[in-house]
Amino acid sequence: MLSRGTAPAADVTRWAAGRLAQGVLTVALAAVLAFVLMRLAPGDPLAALGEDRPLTAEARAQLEARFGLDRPAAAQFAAWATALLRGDLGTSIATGQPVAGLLLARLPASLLLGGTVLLLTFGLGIPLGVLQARHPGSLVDRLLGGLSLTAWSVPAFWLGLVLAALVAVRWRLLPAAGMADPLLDPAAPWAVRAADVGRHLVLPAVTLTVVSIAAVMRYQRAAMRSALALPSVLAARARGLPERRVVWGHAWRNALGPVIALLGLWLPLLVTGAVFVEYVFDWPGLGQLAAAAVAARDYPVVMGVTLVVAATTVAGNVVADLLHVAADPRLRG
Amino acid sequence: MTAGSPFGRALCTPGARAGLALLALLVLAALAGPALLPDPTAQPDVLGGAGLPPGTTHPLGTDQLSRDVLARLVSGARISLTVALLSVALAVTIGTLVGLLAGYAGGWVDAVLMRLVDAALAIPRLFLLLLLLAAWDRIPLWALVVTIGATGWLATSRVVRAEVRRLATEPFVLGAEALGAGPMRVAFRHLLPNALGPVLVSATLGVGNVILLEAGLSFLGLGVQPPKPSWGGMIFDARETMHAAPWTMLAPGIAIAVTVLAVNLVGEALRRATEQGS
Amino acid sequence: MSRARVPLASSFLALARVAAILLPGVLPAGGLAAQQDVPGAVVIVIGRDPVTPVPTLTRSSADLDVANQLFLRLARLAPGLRTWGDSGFVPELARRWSRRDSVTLAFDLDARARWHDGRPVVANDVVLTLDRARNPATGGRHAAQLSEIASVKAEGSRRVVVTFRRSYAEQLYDVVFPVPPLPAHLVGAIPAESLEASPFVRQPVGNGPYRWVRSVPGQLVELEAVRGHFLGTPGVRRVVFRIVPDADARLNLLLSGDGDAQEAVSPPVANLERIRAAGHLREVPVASGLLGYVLFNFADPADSARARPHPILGDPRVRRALVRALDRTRMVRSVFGPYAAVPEGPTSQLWWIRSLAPAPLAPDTAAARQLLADAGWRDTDGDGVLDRDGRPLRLRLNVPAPSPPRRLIALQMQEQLRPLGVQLEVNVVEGGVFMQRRNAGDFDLDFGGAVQEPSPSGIVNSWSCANAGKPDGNVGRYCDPGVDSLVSLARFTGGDPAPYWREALARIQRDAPAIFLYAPATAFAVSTRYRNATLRPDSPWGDLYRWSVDPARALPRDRPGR
Repeated sequence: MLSRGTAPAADVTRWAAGRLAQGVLTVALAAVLAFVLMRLAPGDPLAALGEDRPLTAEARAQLEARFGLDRPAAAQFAAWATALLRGDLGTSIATGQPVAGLLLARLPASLLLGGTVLLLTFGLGIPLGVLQARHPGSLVDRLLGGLSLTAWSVPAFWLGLVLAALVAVRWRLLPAAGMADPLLDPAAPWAVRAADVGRHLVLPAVTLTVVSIAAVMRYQRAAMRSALALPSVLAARARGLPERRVVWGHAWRNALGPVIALLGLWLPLLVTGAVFVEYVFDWPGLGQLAAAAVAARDYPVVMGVTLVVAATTVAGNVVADLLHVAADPRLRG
Repeated sequence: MTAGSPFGRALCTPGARAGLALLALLVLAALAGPALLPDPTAQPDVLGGAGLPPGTTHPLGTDQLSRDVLARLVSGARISLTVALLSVALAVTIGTLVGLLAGYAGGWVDAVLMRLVDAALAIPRLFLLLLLLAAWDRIPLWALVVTIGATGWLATSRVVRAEVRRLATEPFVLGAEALGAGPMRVAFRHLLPNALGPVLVSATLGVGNVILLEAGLSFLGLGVQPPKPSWGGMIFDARETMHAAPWTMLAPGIAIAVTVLAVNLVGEALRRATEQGS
Repeated sequence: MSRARVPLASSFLALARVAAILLPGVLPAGGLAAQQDVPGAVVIVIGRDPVTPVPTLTRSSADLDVANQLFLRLARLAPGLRTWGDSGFVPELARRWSRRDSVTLAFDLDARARWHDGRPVVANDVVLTLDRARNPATGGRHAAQLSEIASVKAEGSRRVVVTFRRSYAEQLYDVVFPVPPLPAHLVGAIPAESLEASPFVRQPVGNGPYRWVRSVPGQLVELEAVRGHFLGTPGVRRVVFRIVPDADARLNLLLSGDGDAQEAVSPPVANLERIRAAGHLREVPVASGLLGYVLFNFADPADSARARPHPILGDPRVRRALVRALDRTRMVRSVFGPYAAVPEGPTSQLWWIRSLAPAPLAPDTAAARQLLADAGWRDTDGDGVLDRDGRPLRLRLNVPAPSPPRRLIALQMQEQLRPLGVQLEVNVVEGGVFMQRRNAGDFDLDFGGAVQEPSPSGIVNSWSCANAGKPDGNVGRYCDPGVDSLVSLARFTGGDPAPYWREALARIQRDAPAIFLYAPATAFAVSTRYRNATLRPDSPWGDLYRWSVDPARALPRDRPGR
């Protein structure tokens, strides 16, 4: 958005290398920041292991040695960073599982939910925003604007709780929680398993889409309104082109920039946009893992998630810039 | 482009009027309500009077500790609104100053500040809050305000920086510099007033976000400490009783939605005004 | 928006119908035979991951839930849960046992017992496991308890002989209950300290009625029945422990029929009413080791050495006043409903000695006021809070955020103490922070919770002088040598330990080291489609192998296609 995207074509490589270096620096800084914050926050990462059954001093010492908690903070960070360079993200204190495995196990769920929500918000938000822009001030425009703004104002977890209580528990239309029926045979036909996951996906995806669609609609509506007033669009209409082609062929292409920038900025949401909703529906995504890890002071997991999220954010910004350049004819010029 | 008149006109649109009226009503209720209603922390009858449905003595029913839901809602409004307004004010102040500094100073100051902002933006705000709030024993209100404010200025600083960098090449700024105005004077007399438009808009929309955020934090058990009522805390408490006593969940949820909607209506009108003004 | 949801939901309903049509296609052709023999499945919804579901390493209830299905004990506790003497036990891996003298016990293993890899269970398995468990360097949390064991020897492949350092009441219990045997042929090659990180923990091989199938961290653990197990082939073939951290989401799964059973339905009482109203579920109260109490700090948290007595709580009159000021029954009933029980002393429902405890003191605010006045606390500045020498009677109560019962009770305590001029600051903090403060002795009042094992000798860990100030031990630094010697007499007497326990508990009541609040039965929820679905206090799902599914009410998941 803060567009460095106007670079001449010859400098693209240099620009990309610069962005990459900047991105790595950003991610590294984010990791240091997260580590420092975690060290400043009090809390015992071994506390959750005992759960009301005391750990003996010996067991505690063993665990501390295993996870390096007995060493100074700087040494721990150095050890973490060195292992990272070897591609080792460490072991979760709370579950004893390798962090990389935990992240990989959670990533598909996050991508599925986040991807579905992005698809729905943009797939529905763009046409609705265009519809609003074509009839500004009309009843449809005001109704859609009012409804989406109302939905935008509702806390996502609250909507989730209410939907779960009604749709899943009272009416039993859809599963209340989880991502798949754990008893479904892993060897069941592909279609059966996909349908099962789909049923679990509906409520969390609908909840998140409802509360976030307003942003896409508003961006699209504003961009479309200015695009409809562009001389080139007015000229196209004057030439007697069909309305459909004027709107989608000419105006919309010009109104794509801001929406695409928004898409880039929302990419990180694929990973952690849904912490609360994941809690409510027990969706096994990264957001829930991350929040639980922060609460339990499971340092290796928090660091792992921070890396993934920071990298996605940086990548999202780059993608936003690239798409912005690609979509805006003036910038391509 | 003077900021005053389009904003003034913006606030006369029907949406903004509805929003302002709702907000005025809320503030009135938050100010006058507690005097008229029962003590929001009193637990008159935990065994017999818990989870009562709405009725004449308790217009919005009682919660699982037999406390009056309306009284808690109204005194929660005070706390939720105070936290939101103060923390947004703080965030906007920090964000504006940092943005002004980075945008106007440029060079390595700009580079360092923006890299740090990038890094902080790359960690989800919720994680930052979880880690920062964990440092408190019993989170005092001011600490909640400071923590939410201190994690909310990043985006504002980038908006202000962009605006300042655009303005810095405008004739009136270059003119002021040519006339010998010092950097402080240029920054605060010429750049700041003209960059305030987008700041005001992002602040208004930020209030809504913070109300939702505070609710979310309380939902995870962090946030305003009991027995002080806050809307998010009420939802947290109501989770266990939402089926047996749905009003304990509906009341704070609707209160949040209505308030955020009112704030957003005003913010939306202001935003339209800046878009039309530029 | 609401309009858009309907077609969406209905299209997924249509998909679900497709699934329902497809599913029978992969089932074996049904018919009367299938009607009579339902393989059966049970989805047990639990709150956290089993991390180390292996004896010697078990730490949480989730670990124990899974470990108890995989690993049998030499013997289990009979229903009375009497942990002393040799008669209160039912054979499991050990077919029988005999006492050679007051310090020697011999166990004969059941020849039919097999590990899940087919190898027989042998005496050496027991020797290796007990030797590891009682070694303080490697033993984990049971080492101290097993310190009275002098030697464990194999006589042939099926007989184990255990000798003790002295005669005491819980010899048999110590051998059979805390640590079930591990397979020596698999574990023997793994050093004890690296067992936790070894593949064995991720793919445990046991000898119980269910064997390990798979786990998906954060989501589920799946077990399957061992056909021809010597205790009988389990009637329910598949067991899935489904991990759902959020209490509401757990209950929702059960109510919507996706889960079959749940451990400890969380308060409030309204949740129990929902279970009853659901129709397809029943609630099963099970005596539990759960004990909730507000601990007094005997040391001053402002003194970093914790050597100075607590300026307010060091006075026994103040402690007693706080106990008497509270209507504990009322608070606990509002949270636990019909299963509430106020203990007098640190005794959960699992401890047989709870019947020896004195009757709880009735609430008496007048007496509480008098005690506070006797201790010199008066409201001299008229601010509604008592004070003495310029110090207000203000106390900090730490409560862990993840525990709704403790939070609800703490808020009630705050309200009940306010009229007496006692200002209680309730600090709701995250679990990790709570434990750190607790172990550091950084609190005035600490809302502790414990899950007790059946042996009352656990009292030593939390209330003895020797453990004062130890992390995860006696963190409140209560110390009464009289109680210590009575407990010691009770544990090592040759005769009936009851009189000593009775006197020890009476002394604890007089000392008031804590406000003992609840020792409830926990309510489990189980689908009504299971027959013979009993639960046990010593191991809630321990009878799972006896359950079966009512064929008339079988669900698709009870008849998986294979």
